[in-house]
Amino acid sequence: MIFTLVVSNLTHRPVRTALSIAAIALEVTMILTLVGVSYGTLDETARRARGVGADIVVRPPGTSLMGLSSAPMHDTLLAYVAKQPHVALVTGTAVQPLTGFDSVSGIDLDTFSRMSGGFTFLEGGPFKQPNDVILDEYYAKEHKLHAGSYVQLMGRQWHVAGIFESGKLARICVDIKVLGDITGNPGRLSQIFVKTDNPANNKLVLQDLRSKMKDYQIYTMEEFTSLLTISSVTMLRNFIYVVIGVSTVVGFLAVFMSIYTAVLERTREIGILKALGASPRFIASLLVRETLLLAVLGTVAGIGLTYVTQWAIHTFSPASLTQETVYLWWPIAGLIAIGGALLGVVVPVTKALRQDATEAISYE
Amino acid sequence: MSNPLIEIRELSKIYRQGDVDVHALRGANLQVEKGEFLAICGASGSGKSTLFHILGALTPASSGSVVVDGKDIAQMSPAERTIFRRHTVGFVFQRYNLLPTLTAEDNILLANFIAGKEEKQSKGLPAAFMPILETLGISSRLSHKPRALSGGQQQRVAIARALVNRPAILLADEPTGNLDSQNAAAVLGLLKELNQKEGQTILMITHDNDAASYASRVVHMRDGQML
Repeated sequence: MIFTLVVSNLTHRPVRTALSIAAIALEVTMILTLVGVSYGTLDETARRARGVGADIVVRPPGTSLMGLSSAPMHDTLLAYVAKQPHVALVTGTAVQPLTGFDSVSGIDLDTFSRMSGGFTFLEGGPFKQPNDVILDEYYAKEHKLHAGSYVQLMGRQWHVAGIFESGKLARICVDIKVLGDITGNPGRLSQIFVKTDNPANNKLVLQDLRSKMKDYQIYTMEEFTSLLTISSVTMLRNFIYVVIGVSTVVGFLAVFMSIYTAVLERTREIGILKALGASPRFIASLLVRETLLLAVLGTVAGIGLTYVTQWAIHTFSPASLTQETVYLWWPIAGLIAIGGALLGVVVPVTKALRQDATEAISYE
Repeated sequence: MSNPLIEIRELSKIYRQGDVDVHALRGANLQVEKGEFLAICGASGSGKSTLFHILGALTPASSGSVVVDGKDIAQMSPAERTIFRRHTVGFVFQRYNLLPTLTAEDNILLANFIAGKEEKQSKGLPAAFMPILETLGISSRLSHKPRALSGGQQQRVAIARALVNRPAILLADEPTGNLDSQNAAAVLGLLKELNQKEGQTILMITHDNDAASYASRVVHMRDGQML
């Protein structure tokens, strides 16, 4: 019977119920989308780093995990690293940030291809001329580019020589010498990738490089990719907390407004329940159950909406952002939504319980 | 009247309205026997609705006593008054006061559920209650929501809801106030029939002498006192 009463109360006011569910869904979608984009972007970065085919990466001192805003290492380091014991192959890359999340990577096509197994071109082929650029499939899709198209990058026009299958370090690649000349930073590297002669020697080479190149950040690729998590990127973690906080407030306000107006609208009904002998616990339970149902429906709708945002990001911005479905966060987002909703119902319940039954019954 | 079902003694109720004390009841006294159909008549402001609310344990008295079946409502805690409303009284209001979101049957079942008497096996109204539904003539309208029922039908559902837990007292506050004369006569006839057939004790508040004529006894109120 109480379930009948709860459902009938919600279906009796479909617009308000739908708006409440939508607000809670928005809260859940905000959380899940942000978390999904964070996980997706980091995992995509790790996937592309693994695609280089290196065993060890050498990064400049003092750089953050996610950013390489300049190319501070001299390219003579390549030769130094290459002559170390058990080092089979080295290749250096330079990164030039563009606007937003985009960046151009300068690579030495020969050594990079040997290390990574080479690009798989979906259209066109490798760069041959100084103004040639190759793009990964997602960047090309987002910017509607094809082999033979021209694209404006770093203040000059580039000829798109080829479109390659995603998963090899970067989305935009040019010749490293050309990039160095354009940026006024020739002969400089952002990171050095190392391939050992045998994976069993990875640890040995790592220890050797660390002992000889103090202050440099040197990791096995396994270590490096495992560091690409939300908890190790402080700014991202704090950003998520802020969004969760804002989302919780949105959910709280939505439920507060919804149930508060419901209590005002149903003053007479609450009076009737009291006249029938309903205890304060019964009335509170009724409102809390309504809230819980709203929160659960909002959570389910929010999870559904997350797939819509995922589709939208994949369709309209596949290169800039990657959104994953993080199942682990479904119950977390649900609990946050339910928690916010329960906070929002406290005041309305208190108001309902304090209503004088005789006044409530005669309420117009 | 040696063992009255209801005994009201020196009942007073003072409301505070702004800076003014309003004396709604001024030492009212009344005794009601079990099985009586009593009409309490009076003009607006005579105190009859306040008496109704105190008798129904919806609001506490300022002083005096209201003993129902040996228990003084005035001495009850809020929780005890809730239980009293649940089991001892059934309300019929002028404006029916059915829950608009529920069907007629669910409105009746709700009272049953709150009293903890909902039939768990049949998931419906108690079989023993069916004759009363037949008497009220609403058996075929149970699946309808209040907005699909006429005023007379809504009031019959309200009477059924008030009686489903077999309360000792049926309190009716202007039960025909919103009905046309034909429906009013039918509802009053039903109350009389329930009183005579089922022995239901009924206290009806009214300002209408015609309505009061259906009762077995009529008392009048003025200025918060019984005349």
